[in-house]
Amino acid sequence: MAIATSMVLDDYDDILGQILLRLTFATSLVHAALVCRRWLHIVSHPAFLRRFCDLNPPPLLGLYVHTKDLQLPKFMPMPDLPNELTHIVHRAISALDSYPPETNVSISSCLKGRLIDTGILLITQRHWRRILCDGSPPVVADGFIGSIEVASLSVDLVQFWKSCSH
Amino acid sequence: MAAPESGDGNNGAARMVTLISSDNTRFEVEAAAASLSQTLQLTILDGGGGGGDGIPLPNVDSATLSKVLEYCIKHAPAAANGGAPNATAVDRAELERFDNEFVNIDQSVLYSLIMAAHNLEIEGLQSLVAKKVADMIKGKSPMEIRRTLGFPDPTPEEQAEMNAHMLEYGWAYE
Repeated sequence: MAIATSMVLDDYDDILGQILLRLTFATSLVHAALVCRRWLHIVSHPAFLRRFCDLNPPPLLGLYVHTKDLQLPKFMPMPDLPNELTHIVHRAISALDSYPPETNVSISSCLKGRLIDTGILLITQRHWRRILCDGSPPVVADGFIGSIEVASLSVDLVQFWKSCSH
Repeated sequence: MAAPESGDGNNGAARMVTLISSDNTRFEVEAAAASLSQTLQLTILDGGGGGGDGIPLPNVDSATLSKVLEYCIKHAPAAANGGAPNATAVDRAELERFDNEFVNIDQSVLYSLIMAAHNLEIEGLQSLVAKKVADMIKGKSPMEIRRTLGFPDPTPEEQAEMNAHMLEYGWAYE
């Protein structure tokens, strides 16, 4: 007799928690949170989110490259990123597209471990001139014309849920 | 070969214990393998399960128990080495290959394994099946996850709630 896995997961929070902790990517966790209220409840728990962040350190998605030839910084994704991150990378690539061509945009820094979408929303919806910075100076690589700013464009779940929950 | 912890003077032969499934099938396995179960470990250390006695497992049927024991037998040598610090890369690769193959199974079997691993407290197996289910979820939309795991169709309220959330935070769900 085929028994749906959902039935097991209905009864045991600890089993479900163990499964959700292994989703690896915050993007997958966000989807799982919408499966039903119970899943959302487990996933939203601060202790769960802390464990998830400990077990699944946010990956480096790519770099913003800004040279004197480029009006806008260009996002260069890291090679071989898993499929689950494709759409987030796509957002990063198109993040600055909504600026008029003559706009002078510079990225002063990026939020280490901070949700990329937060930055993008700020830019596209409120037209902020730069992605919020966490105070650390941009990394400038020698030998390049212009500067390369290392963008740790990754997902901080706690921040994410704060932004979702109001 | 390492002697079982509660030496039973069995002339060096590995100590065996008998486990009895819910449908009364008897399984004889090495104590070291059965001891991967935290639940069984104490009983076995106390000398239980030997001779004609057998340890009844009312929550585990014979098909599931045989699958669980297949896992335990394969993993027992590495576990006996204290997490196998000396294991060669070949050994580890072989265990990994075994694990991948092991969870390549029907969902109803996976369901039984999740429950058995939970009830018997077999840490490695719990972790393995959890990872398998997580892999089934990764990269799927909420609705796809529901379908994959055999959830009933969402109630109108649930559907409305999901739609509202999607509308507001659609950017996160592209």
